[in-house]
Amino acid sequence: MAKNVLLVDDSSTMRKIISRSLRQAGLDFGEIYEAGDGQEALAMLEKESIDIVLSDINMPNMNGIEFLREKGNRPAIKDIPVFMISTETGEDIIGEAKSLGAIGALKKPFTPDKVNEVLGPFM
Amino acid sequence: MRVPEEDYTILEDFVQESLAGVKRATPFVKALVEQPDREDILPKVTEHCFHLFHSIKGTGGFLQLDQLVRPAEAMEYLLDRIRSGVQSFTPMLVSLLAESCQFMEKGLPLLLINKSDERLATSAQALTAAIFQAMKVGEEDSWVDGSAALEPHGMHDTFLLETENLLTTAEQEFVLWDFIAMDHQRMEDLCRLLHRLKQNFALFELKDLERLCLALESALTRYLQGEFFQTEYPERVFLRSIDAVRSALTSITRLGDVAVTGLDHHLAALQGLMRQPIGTLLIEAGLVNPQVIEDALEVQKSCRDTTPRRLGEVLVDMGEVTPDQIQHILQAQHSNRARAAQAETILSSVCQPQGQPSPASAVYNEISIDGRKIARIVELVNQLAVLYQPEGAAAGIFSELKMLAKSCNQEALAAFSSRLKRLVHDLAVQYNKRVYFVIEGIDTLLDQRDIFLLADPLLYLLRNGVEHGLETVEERMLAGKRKSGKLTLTALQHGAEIWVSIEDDGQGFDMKKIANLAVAQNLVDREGVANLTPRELAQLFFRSQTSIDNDSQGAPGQNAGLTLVRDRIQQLQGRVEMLTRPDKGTRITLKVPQQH
Repeated sequence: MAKNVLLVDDSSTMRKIISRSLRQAGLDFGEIYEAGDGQEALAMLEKESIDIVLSDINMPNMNGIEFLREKGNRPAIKDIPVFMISTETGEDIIGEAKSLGAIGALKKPFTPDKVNEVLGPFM
Repeated sequence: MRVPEEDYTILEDFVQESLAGVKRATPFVKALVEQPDREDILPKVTEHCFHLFHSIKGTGGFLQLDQLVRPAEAMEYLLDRIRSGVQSFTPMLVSLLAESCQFMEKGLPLLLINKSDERLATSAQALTAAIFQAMKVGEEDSWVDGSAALEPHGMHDTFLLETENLLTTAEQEFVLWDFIAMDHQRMEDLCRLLHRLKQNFALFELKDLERLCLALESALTRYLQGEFFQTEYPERVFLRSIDAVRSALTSITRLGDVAVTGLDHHLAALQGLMRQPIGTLLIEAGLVNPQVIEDALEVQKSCRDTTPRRLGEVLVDMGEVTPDQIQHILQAQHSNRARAAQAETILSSVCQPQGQPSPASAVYNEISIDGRKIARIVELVNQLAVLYQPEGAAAGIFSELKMLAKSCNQEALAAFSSRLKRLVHDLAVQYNKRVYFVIEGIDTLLDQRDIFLLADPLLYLLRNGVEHGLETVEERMLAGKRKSGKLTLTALQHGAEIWVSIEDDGQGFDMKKIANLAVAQNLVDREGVANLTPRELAQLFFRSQTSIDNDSQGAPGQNAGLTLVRDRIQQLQGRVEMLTRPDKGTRITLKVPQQH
């Protein structure tokens, strides 16, 4: 069954780019929801039926790491998988994200082929 | 790079979004240009502009707009350093921020017209170079590639200086541990600082130092996430690690790896800081998931009053783990603790606190950290200016010399202050006291050399205050006081004099014993002593030549030390005054003529 995706990034242009890359990658997904920061993402997760989250790390208000931490404290949504999409490549920050439950990471900028390769197994 | 036609819509969105971000930032950036010290808007501007340039870098990267990405990346890096506390916003950096915003304001609309960023190449290159120059990080390529091979000398020196600054700040924060441990924001800042240190070491492939900083950062992060320390004084372990980093850095003579003496012990001590509950260990070992632990805790809680059981027993009863697995984890818990305790014992016996030379001094031999020499330069420059009353070009040279001397003095004072804080911390450890040490008005001494002439007496008085003035935690609690004693160093200018005082809120001097001493030494007769005020009696104490045989204020040899303080201050044509009240504390003030 096609999965519903939530894109979390403070840049609406970046959300469009990621959304387009998902389409170009030929992945089977359902609805695409969008959020501008971690707080909006939490609200969206509690409201909509979302199967996977693709989230940036550096965002105002609530960043990707804080989002993961807060999500982990909410039983209703804590098991929804999160994939990090960021310009951050440091092992420490990605390591921290993974220790908080992120299932993987993709470095910006990326090509549709890369999206297929990395995200394919989860879709 | 030319933007492909299928990306035109994305380009349009990107330009509009970025211009809106620039527009929102502009009034605040302009306000900063006019008043660079606007503390009220600095954090907001830094945060907003960081995200703005971060987004431009990210989206610009997708559109392959390299000429736009390079200055955005440089500015993002600079702002990240500022928000992490590594770098301060100078007027020069504020101007560069304004220039970067203008560059985006003018450059972004050009993208829509040309569908390419090639026309921005020259100005982008100049702006990027200016940002890196201002940060003194070296060539942009050496940073972008993360390669330490380019321009090694400049990078090396910058690295050592920045590292020393970060270490000093971390040291100061750990010294103030009792007061920052409850301050979430400050702890987060400290974590960021350690993270930056670790990144710096990673950049130069200093693996031992990177591991040590990672362990420091991890311990603090776990504390921030709600875990507990299993020792009362975790800051001692942190400070020892900071000392170990410093010590290792002094052996750097060229770029290359350096070894940390006793690294494994330091790592074991840091890892042993955190209490490791059995539930966490079981999860880390992959034997149960967090939900099982939560369920088990609920069961344990529900039968606490009727049949209290350990968590391991509950888990075994629930069938989640076997008794052998619990036994295995308990052994691991025990061996972690034992390893940390062993490391602690070894490190306590071999690590000498204080007096670590700074890593920067290993390279910057020409910059003396001896404050007295710097103070002497300041004095000579001032004297020359008075003697020659320079005019014209010479006046400009003298003015610059004075500014340079003042700047050197400022740095020396800052170093002196942090050294005093560390000294008081280590004395508190040595004498089993808890001390909140405050320095006030040190900038008063910016134009003088007095602080360095007063250094020895001050060090003595601080030691005296911690050793004899302040009580132990137990004594203070019995006396109904706060656990931490307060020790304050205050400097102020009073007319033509500089007054520097050391004040504690401890037990005060034992006036009865001072009176007996004064009588015994024939400084006053028994009838006369009864008529003396406490202040007069205190002055007599400074005049006495032998010691008092007790261990409260007025300990063996203590007044001999105070006599030395008095003699030193008299050499400077100054005087010493003391005010002491039983159970309230003591203030000793050194009053010396101002020197110009």
